[in-house]
Amino acid sequence: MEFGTITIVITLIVGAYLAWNLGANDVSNSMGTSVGSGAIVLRKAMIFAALVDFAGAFLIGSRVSETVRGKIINPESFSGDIQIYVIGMLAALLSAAIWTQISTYYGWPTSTTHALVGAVFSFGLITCGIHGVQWKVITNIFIGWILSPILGGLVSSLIFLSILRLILFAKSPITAAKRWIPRMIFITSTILLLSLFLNGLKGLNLSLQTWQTLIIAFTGGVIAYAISSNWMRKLRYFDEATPRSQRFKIVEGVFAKMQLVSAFYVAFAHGSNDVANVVGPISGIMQIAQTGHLDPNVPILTWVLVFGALFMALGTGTWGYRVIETIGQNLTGISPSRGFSAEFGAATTVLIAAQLGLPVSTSHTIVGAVVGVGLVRGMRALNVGEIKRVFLSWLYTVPFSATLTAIIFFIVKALIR
Amino acid sequence: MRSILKIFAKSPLGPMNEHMTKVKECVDKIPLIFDALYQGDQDKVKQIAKDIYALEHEADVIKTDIRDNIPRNILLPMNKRDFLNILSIQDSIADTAEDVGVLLTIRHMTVPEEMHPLLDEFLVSVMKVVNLAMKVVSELGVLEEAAFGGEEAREVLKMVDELGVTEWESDKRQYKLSQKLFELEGKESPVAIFMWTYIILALARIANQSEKLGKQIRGNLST
Repeated sequence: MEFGTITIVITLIVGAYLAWNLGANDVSNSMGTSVGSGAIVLRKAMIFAALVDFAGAFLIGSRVSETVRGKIINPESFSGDIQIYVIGMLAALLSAAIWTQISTYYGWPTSTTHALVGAVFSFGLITCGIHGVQWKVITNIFIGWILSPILGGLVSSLIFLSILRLILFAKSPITAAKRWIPRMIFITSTILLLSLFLNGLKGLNLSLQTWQTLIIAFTGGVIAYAISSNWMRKLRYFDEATPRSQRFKIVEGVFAKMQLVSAFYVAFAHGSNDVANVVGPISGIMQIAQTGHLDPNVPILTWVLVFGALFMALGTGTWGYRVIETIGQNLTGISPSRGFSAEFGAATTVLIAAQLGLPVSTSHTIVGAVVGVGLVRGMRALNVGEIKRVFLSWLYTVPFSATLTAIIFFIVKALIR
Repeated sequence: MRSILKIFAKSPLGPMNEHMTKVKECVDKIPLIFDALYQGDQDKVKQIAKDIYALEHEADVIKTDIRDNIPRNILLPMNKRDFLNILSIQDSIADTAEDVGVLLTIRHMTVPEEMHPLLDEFLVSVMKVVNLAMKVVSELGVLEEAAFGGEEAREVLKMVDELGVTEWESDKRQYKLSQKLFELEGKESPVAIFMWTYIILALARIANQSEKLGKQIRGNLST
């Protein structure tokens, strides 16, 4: 190999840095509201979020990683000069890392996924022209970027509307909660498990047939139903004994526990989708280092997956606390019922996208989910200006990242050759 | 730091409650000022009027603070314009209370003995309307939790209906009181009658504005 250990070392360092940043910056998106509302202590939140983030990355993360590695660019176009791919991926990693650093410094709400996909797309285009890129895949990814916030919003608003109509609108909300929450937990648990086991667990090399997935999901749902029924039975509050305003507090207290689970669900989904931003490029480079060519059908190297997942989890568990502390203090605290609705809708969307191998922006999906709930009068106060800023950020992220990647690519190519 | 949590804005409902409390403090002084008037203690009347003036100013500050700090592009579970309207109406109640204080101090007023019982009844009815309106406003937090719908909205709707009835009762008392006032034509000085007319109108305005407050909130409920 003409490129040597240095290239690999640089790749791993940049990759570790990017992964760590992914963990640190995005953890507030999942745990922020739960910490802000006091549902969980900061320390615990960090540790569990890190564990769950890792789990998502390890168990499901390889699917999107495969897409980023070899399905955005066209491997055949690189078979002539495989080193170009290595330089390109390294440039993409560097570009994404720089962009992340800039965004963090200025506090811009941008998506690392957008930056990285834009970067890979860019070097595919500039090195091999039109044929360097798989346009069908890029189109699908783009559609995914548009659909994920919409779908997140739809699912979230549906969940919240059912909570509203079945429980919060009821004459006796506590009684309604005792009746309907176990059923809701059954449905949401089943959906969660379906999304989780949809394509098996690639990380454990566990593949499942549809009927097996359905059975696991349904059984899990029933178990969750039983546990929550028992929990509701033990709830020693009754409508008749509580003034009306207090009734809602009690119901929200129940949702607070559910919101905790959904927050971890978001962390899991984040791991499953975002780790690919690091693992995709690195595993492509490593494959070439070992075998000399790029085969998009070979599974992702496990150690690369663990590498990426580990550093992302480290980012979540360490620097994340500083992010959340600041956020938590400024947050007025959204009601747990709303938090649960938004988080569950977003997490399911991101996880399903991950199962389909589609890199989507977790932050955009979450924002879409929050807006969805807000549009059905669920959110206390939303800053529409900031929402627009988030949704439009990819308009400058992708061009910037593409340009930066091109620049870095030519620099690195000149240096190496 | 990069975070999407900035999409959450600070809810103006908390400061709104603060404003409501201030306005209530203002209006609660009205029975006290009339008590002092009955006792003929002009100094006390002047003092309470000063208190009302100070409290009204504090309410104004809170109101301006809310208006200045609410983002232009905020998405609330109720119409932003309606929310600011509620704030306006609430504030005007404090303004009118201040007006009453002014009216009782720019000229040394005494309560004609014949008017006393009807004035008392009228005062009580006005305070009833205000208190009921304040109760409706205090439900905003709970309403928000229920997304301004469902059973909670129905309960508040009932309160607003009751508010309407109570205000109507207050209107009747105002009528009787005004009748009594004009029976005193000839006995009392024309200026005194002139002033009492204004005072009664101001008190009635408090009741009207309170009812308007309830109606504004009602417009945002969906059942």
